[in-house]
Amino acid sequence: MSPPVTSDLAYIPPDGGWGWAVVFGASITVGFSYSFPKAFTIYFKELQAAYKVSYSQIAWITSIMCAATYGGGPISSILVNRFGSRPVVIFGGLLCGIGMVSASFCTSIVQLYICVGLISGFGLALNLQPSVIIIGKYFLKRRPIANGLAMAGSPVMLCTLAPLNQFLFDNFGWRGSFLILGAILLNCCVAGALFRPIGPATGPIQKEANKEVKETAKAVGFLAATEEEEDKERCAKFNQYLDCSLFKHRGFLIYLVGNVLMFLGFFAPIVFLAPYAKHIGIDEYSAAFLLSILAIVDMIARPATGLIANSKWVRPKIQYFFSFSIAFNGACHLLCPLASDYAGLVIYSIFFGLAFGMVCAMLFETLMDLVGAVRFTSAVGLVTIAECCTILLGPPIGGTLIDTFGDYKYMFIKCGAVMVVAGTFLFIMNYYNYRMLAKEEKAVGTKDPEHGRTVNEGSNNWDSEKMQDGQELEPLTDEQGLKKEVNGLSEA
Amino acid sequence: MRVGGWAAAMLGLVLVLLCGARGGLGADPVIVTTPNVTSGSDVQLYCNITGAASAITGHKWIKEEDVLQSDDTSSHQTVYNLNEVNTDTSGEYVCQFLTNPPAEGIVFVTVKPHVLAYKKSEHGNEGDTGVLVCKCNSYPSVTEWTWYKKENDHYMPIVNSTEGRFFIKSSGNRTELRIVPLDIEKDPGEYICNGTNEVGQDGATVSLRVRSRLAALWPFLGIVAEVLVLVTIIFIYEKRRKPDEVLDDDDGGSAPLKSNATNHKDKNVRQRNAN
Repeated sequence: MSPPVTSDLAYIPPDGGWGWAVVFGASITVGFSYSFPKAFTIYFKELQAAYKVSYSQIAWITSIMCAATYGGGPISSILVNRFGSRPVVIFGGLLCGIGMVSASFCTSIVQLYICVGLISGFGLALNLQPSVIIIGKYFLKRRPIANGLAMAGSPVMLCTLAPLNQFLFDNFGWRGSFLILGAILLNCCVAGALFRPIGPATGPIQKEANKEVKETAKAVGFLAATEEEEDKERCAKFNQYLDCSLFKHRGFLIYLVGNVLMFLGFFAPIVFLAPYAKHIGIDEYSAAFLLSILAIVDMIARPATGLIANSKWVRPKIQYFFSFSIAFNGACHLLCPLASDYAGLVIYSIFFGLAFGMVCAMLFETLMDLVGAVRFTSAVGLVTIAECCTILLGPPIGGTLIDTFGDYKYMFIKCGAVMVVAGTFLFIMNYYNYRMLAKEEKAVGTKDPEHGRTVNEGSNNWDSEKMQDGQELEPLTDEQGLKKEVNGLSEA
Repeated sequence: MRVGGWAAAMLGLVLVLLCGARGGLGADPVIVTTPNVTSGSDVQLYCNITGAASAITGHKWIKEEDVLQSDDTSSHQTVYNLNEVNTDTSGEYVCQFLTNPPAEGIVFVTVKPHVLAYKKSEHGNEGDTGVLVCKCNSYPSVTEWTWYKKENDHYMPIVNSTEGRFFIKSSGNRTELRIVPLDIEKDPGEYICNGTNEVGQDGATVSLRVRSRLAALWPFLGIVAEVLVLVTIIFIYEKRRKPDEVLDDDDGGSAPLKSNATNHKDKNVRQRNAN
């Protein structure tokens, strides 16, 4: 019944020490990735006047940026699998900086789309995934806390960037601001420098090691060099870069479907909260203050959720906690239309901030929990590109609902309903998943008690079952089988 | 205003008598209103109707399509109280008698212009366009806008196409001065926009600052330097700690395939400790 808390990494993650520096760096990069598009909207009015285009044409900039950030996920995963987190993040930071600096010299809106949207957006993608990945490499026992703290970087950065952007704009104009923002984004390189590589060598070196091992084994006659073997090798080679066998992984598929559904209603309420407040007659500053309340509650909720998710009662059942927070989020939206005055909206903002923070804090933690830290690299890339579509569709669908019915409540009902459905789906499917895992544990447990034991003797804060997900055992056993062969060889 | 109201009532009476003498039938109703108001507080606006076409079922006071006040008495006089005469309350006040057909009168509340700068201090980049905006929402609207630049206590008037760089675009409630391209030597300073209407005139000051092209360059370079310094420090720190880190990794029973391939070539390193 337990999740694969045992590490499928071949080493014990430090769970502290330099890990906290990594968490700090990750919170910076995650913060920039999530909050930069939102904080960028401050420049819209001025850009609209400067280029004489309509609002929707300007809004494309952030849409392209978000699309590049989420769509660049798989590429990011492949690069991390090949080079490790650090070089990718440093390169991503450089890309972001270059994108913004070149944006300050742009003379047309299309150039802005490319510089700010594509280049900086892709740079942010190269920042986001590796940061989340490396947390999984440094933390195991305290991973939920680490994830919660890293994701808390997003509201903190938003609260800092928004006034900073305003200040820069007032003092330097938009071109000067872009130049300085480019320099600020270079700080992602500093964060990347903190991502000290850890653990066994990744990618090519391991491949080489395996190859050597296999060749020796073949020479001595242990393995038959058949065509099938070579095919498998090629598949394995591609899978080393982007693990497509994940699509057969039950937990991964459940996560994918549930999350893709959830994101349809996730961001729209934030986008429309301030307009809704103004619609029911609240003045602009109070409406903006609602968003600040949301951000502050979010900031506190994320590490707090990390702490709760780390506790021994919640962690084994973390998937249930995640589905609960999604459903809670949905319930908030469903109840929002009942708030007809400012006090009601404040209460809604507080609960929304809480729910939003809970979901975000556990977003990547649950995926890591399902697929394990090693395959997480590829999983996160595949998940983000799938979520890309619904994330981008969510707000426009909400906007269409508002325009069609002239009333905001249908948008809230739609978002709430979608999220409640997603939460319920995840809850039920994870119940099924946990049961299947328990069955598989028992089956494997009787076959070979030593299987799947990586280095977990130390980390036994967990009760009883320390088995991994059944399907994951296969690649590992192959490797271990080979290792045994080698060791047997060396002993001989 | 009591005098005004009394005078209006008297006038109304006279008119009634005149109309009555002429036989009243078919004559249009006459509405007498307070004369133009230009100042004061706690002002009362009156409308008196004589010779209404049918019974009066109520009254309304309307300003710019907003109904300010309505009632359903059948009095021949309707009164609207104005707290204060200022820019916001200036405008045309229409009093409507709900007869069949309805009859209306207008009271004009006029003030002298109250000119406001859209932004008291404007920034522009050297070589870009500088836009200075003044607005005035008083009634009646401004009939003439003029711009001046303050230079050593003189006020230099600016007209359209002064020096080929200054362009003025004006309308009844708004005026815009565009300076293209901005010159960092000549253009910074104070500009005054002056609006005149039939009651009086008023002005506002806008100060213009021109940023040099390179203003943003220094913070940019500063931050890039900071990034380089931090990255260098982090890498140096790591190189210094490397010997310690290597020892840490060999900790109990882990089987890392170390990045230095020598371990493999040796193949006599027994790292895996599976029991």
